[in-house]
Amino acid sequence: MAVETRPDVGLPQGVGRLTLKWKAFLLVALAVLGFGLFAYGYEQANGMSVTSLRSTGTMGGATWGLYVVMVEYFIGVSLAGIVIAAVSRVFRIVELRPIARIAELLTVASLMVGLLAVIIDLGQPLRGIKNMLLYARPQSAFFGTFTLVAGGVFLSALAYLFLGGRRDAAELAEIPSRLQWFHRLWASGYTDSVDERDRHRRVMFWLSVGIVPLIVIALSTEGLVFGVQVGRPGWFGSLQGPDFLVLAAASGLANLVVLSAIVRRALGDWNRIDAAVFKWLGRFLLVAASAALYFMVVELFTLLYATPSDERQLADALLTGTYAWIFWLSIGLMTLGLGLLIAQAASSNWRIGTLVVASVAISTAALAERYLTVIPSQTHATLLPYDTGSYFPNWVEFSVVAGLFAFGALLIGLFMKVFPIIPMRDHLIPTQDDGVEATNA
Amino acid sequence: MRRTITIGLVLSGLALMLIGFFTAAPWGTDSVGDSNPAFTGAPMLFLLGIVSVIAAAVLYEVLPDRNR
Repeated sequence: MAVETRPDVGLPQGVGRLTLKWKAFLLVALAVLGFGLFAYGYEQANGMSVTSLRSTGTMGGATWGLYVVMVEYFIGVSLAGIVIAAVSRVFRIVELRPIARIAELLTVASLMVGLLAVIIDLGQPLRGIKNMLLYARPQSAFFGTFTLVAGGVFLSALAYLFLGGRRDAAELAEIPSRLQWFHRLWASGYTDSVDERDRHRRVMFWLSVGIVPLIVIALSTEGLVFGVQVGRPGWFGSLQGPDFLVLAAASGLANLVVLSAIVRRALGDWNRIDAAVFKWLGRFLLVAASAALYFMVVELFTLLYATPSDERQLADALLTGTYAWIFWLSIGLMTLGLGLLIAQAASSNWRIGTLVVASVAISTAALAERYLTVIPSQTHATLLPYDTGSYFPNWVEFSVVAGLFAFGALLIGLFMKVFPIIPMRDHLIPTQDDGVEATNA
Repeated sequence: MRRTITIGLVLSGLALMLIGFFTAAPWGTDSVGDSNPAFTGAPMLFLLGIVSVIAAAVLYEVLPDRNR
């Protein structure tokens, strides 16, 4: 009888059940998103002059501002999710399987938000998209970024999420609930036959094998957008591609740690994310953050050592000038995060709370680093004889970006209410053919 | 049938990407003032090629068995 009056009571992991805390989250997220939409509407109605964005050189500003910083940041965050999901499958890391769906979801959500940030940065989004499809050059790093990231990585991640969830969806479709139609649709006829399992294994393996090089190429072109621009001190250089990848890995893993910890807490009794997951993520993050700090130091050294005056002017702006507080904040947070990770690795005692603090520090450092990649080279040390410019985002840009964060959080929060965020078959044991198979609990 | 559709989609996707890539280049001109693709809409072909390859993976798994 209880099942009849509360039809979603049989669904696992709180799916279909709207708790007070979740409603409060929804309210806050919608309010922030609403204000972000208002700010974007204001920008669209009055033109981009209501933002702090100005032409470089002649107007002494930056044409790529906070929106482009967020594009770089969110697309970077998307890297780790799908790579972790793919790596756990290809290398059969059983401990990471419980967070595979969280990782895929993080990729999908951050890519959606990152691509929205690209569109928001365009004064006339529809014209931009239409012209890109008609006239863009696939040889260009910009086009490569948009097609490979938007078309390739985003669709691959969606395919990964969809195919990986069909088995759970088929099980959920058997449970009477208001979401039964949705689960049936997702299951798309899946019956869990031996043939279907074999096909699923093959497809997921080849998707995993294909997606890692795809995302490496896609994110390298993201770095090349800056790296191939000769006319901007601080941008031109062969390190931009690998640097983008490494920082993307660090920020993505950091976000994955935080999201996994939030999900772990939110699910309560349904939680299946144990300490082993965080141990793995902590180790990966340690490697990625060390490499990111190494790249930061190498780039700084190159910028300082016997450089032309323009590069030196940029270095001064970073070390002691306008951007010094962001630069030192970035270095300090990255060092703090790395220190916490090293301390945990040394003691072999991975505490989730400490790992979350380290992750927040590293993610914030990565965001600051993205800011320093995009902005200073536009306002300082231009090769043409322009005066030094300035840029700092105003309330419109901050509000729009807050709206983007809220949108991303809403995507993940809503997903958790319609589908189990942790794969339901949680008792994973090795099998002969796949290496890992889930037993029916 | 499943295999034929999948291989067909993958090959046509790769072909579309190649055609899109090469017809997007402004062959036969050195002018920077004429940098439009040789074929207007070539970038869309490239994008469709990517979509086709990924759709192949999804269809391979989702298409129902013949004996169902």
